[in-house]
Amino acid sequence: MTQFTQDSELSSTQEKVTSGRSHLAIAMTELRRVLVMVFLTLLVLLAVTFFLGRVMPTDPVLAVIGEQADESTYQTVYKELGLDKPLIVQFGIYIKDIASGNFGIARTTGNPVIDDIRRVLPATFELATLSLILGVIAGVPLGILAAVRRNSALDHGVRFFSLLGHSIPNFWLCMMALVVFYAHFGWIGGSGRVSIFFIDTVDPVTGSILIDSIIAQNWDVLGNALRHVIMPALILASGSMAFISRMTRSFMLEQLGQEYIITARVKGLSRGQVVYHAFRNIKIQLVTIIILSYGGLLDGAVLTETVFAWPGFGQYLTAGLMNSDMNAVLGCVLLVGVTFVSLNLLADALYRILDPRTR
Amino acid sequence: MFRRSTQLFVMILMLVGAGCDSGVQHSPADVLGIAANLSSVMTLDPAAIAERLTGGVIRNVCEPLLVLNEEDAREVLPGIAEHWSVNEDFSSYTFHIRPNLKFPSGNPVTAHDVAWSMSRSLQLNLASSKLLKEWGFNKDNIADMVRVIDDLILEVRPPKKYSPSLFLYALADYKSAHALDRVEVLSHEIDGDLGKDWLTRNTACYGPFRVHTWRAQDVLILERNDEWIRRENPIRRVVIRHIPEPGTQRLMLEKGDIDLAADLDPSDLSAIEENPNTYLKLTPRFSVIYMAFNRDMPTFSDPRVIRAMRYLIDYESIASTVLNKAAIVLEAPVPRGMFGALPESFSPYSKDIGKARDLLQESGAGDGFSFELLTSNSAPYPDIAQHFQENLLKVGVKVKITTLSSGHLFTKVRARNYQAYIGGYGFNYPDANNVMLRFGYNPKNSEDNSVSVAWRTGWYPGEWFNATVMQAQTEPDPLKREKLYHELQRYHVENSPIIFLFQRLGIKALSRNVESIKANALNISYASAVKKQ
Repeated sequence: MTQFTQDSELSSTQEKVTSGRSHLAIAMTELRRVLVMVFLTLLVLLAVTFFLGRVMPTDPVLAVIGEQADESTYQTVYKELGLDKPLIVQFGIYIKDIASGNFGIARTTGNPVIDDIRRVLPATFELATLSLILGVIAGVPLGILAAVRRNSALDHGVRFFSLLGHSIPNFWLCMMALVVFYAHFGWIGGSGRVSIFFIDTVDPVTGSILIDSIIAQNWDVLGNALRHVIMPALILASGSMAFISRMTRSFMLEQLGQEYIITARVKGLSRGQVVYHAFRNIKIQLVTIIILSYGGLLDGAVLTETVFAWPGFGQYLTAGLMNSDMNAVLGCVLLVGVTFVSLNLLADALYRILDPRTR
Repeated sequence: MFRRSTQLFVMILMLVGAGCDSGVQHSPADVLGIAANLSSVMTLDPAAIAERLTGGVIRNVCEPLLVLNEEDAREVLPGIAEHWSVNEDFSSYTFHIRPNLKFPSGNPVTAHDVAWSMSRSLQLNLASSKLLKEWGFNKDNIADMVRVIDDLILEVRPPKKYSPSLFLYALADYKSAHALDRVEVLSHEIDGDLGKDWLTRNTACYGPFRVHTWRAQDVLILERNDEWIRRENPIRRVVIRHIPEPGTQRLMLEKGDIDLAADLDPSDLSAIEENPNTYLKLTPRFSVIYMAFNRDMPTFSDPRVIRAMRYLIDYESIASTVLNKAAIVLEAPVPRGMFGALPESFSPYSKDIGKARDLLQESGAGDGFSFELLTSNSAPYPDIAQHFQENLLKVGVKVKITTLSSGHLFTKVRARNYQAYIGGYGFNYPDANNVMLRFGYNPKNSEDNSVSVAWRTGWYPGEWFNATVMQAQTEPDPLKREKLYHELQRYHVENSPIIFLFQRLGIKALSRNVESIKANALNISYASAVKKQ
């Protein structure tokens, strides 16, 4: 009996150790699986972009030397760009360089791609973050209201504007906003992060001109910067607001149809309390879509940035594409890839943390 | 509640914006604000620049040995060189550099810097080297041909005894005769690159301005060089902001947020003229729009077919509608304002469907044929192509228009892989020699001359033509030279498969804050701007 008890205690301890180990082993396997998947995703992304870039009918040498240069200049630059090597070798060299942290030099700027990206990202982050804030504080309440008053005029209204937000090309919206609010009414600033005569009047500390102007206590610049950022941020937010409000509505509808809501109603809880109950249960899903829409904002800023001449990531990518500057394009594509993968992983992780059932 | 909070947030942002913004963004009198598309500015190195906008900026930063009059590009004036002399048989030019000139680094400007910069350009063999090579310089002979006599005296021996009125243009161009601060540039040399990497982002020249800030695809700020002595410069700063959208540029100009918009669409020009706050300054540029036919397509090797094409172009109507104010009709190869240009009245062709039909019949193509016409996808090329397409249809010729990005178009044209295209071309100096070398001279009709549009169309202009182009280069009598160019052009118009259509105008859309600014066919001088006080 004693023997048995001892044995059973031993085996239970062993079980604990084994199960601890197996948890760790599972976690490690999982991590390895994720890392391999991320690596493969990025490699395929790079390969597709690289080879697509090389089969583009535009000659990258001519983008450097112009139409007028002679054959010997052409050959000099052709070799300098490494285009004389076989395609697969060029790709191999590129991947090897990337592995050692060298993303190459962007021909359009003459700077290392990594430095360029570091320089342009703060402008895009500033715009995308502000847009996300606007998108969330408008999209979530609208989605909830639409769900609570399902099929009411309000619901139809929200659906209509969401559809508009989704379907009106940002490009057109940007031009119209400039014509109406900048040129006609003069309520907002024009293109760029500040007016042309304010450029470089505050020292760059964080890269965000709003924060930098507050640090420098230069209120003229802060005001000017706010007038410039508001319209592109609102337009960029319109897309994410549409997405967030639609998703919020459908999550809420799903919850509002659950039995616990009926129970809550039967118990005589006020309407607000019932809605709050339901909302608490969609928070996890909401976090996921908000995180994903942030990724969409970062690369969706391309057109908005071009019209508003916002010196950010989107504009950098466009200029790279226009000038067949493959190093810049590949660097940007990789960044977008890494951003999306990381945001996905982050959303996954948050899901697991916030939702005990998925642990 | 949530909706209210959103509205409140947006309102606060706008109010704070409006409250803090004191509205002082309107342009100060000593700052020139320019909106331009900076996306193709890739380098600031005068030896490597292949793009017009960068060229315009560098002309305001790197003063060559000689300069061109700010309003009439044909007149050569002293630049870094104060005066010069030419020997009797035009085999040697002596330049006296102005004493006490300083680069922004404080180093003196010397004859060594000019000689070194010319040699550097040839060694690097980048875009600008083409011009030096065209004059006969190469990396092996440059040391003999450009010699430093002392710190302030430079001797240049042209590889050929060019007419002085022609050769001086070689030394009045930032591409071929700039002076880089040799000591400064070499201090940034990496692995024997002659400072190429550093000069991609920096400048080290003597001129009215120096580059203060360059952030690619964002902003280029020039600052006045107080050491520049040629004349007074009222502009302390030039801020060139990257605004890729022409529509946005126009709005900013109309609001007075910039002084000059560099890339407006032709369709916006009337609005600029009508707006009381803005005006246009139009200067003919040494830049042409032309159509070229590839003689590899047998139909186009018959000059009668090309002549028929000329009769199918409605020059005047395209100029007044599609091009609005952006270009004027130019049927001759040499643009107006250039040495050797034909009189303005030269206009041998105009739209005449009947004559075109007769010529096609004579050539045996009367039953019609079809071909593909390539054009760049940017304005105004596709519209010109459409006009042409409609007229061709009237004589039974079907045209398929394919629009491409400029890069793709260059690639196809350079490889002679096309049937016909409409293109644009900008010349570098104000002499017909420039045009004849690029569009006519083609002695061997071989791929070595792939830079020549004549080769790209497969046109061998004949011995007389090639010899006359060479003769005109050395003819010392300007009147005789001019006559030779007139003959060459008349022959070109009747026989070549290249049809010149229009001469582009330099359009400066300006705010009324700018009272005046000088521009010639090649450049706009920022230092000449006078703004309202």
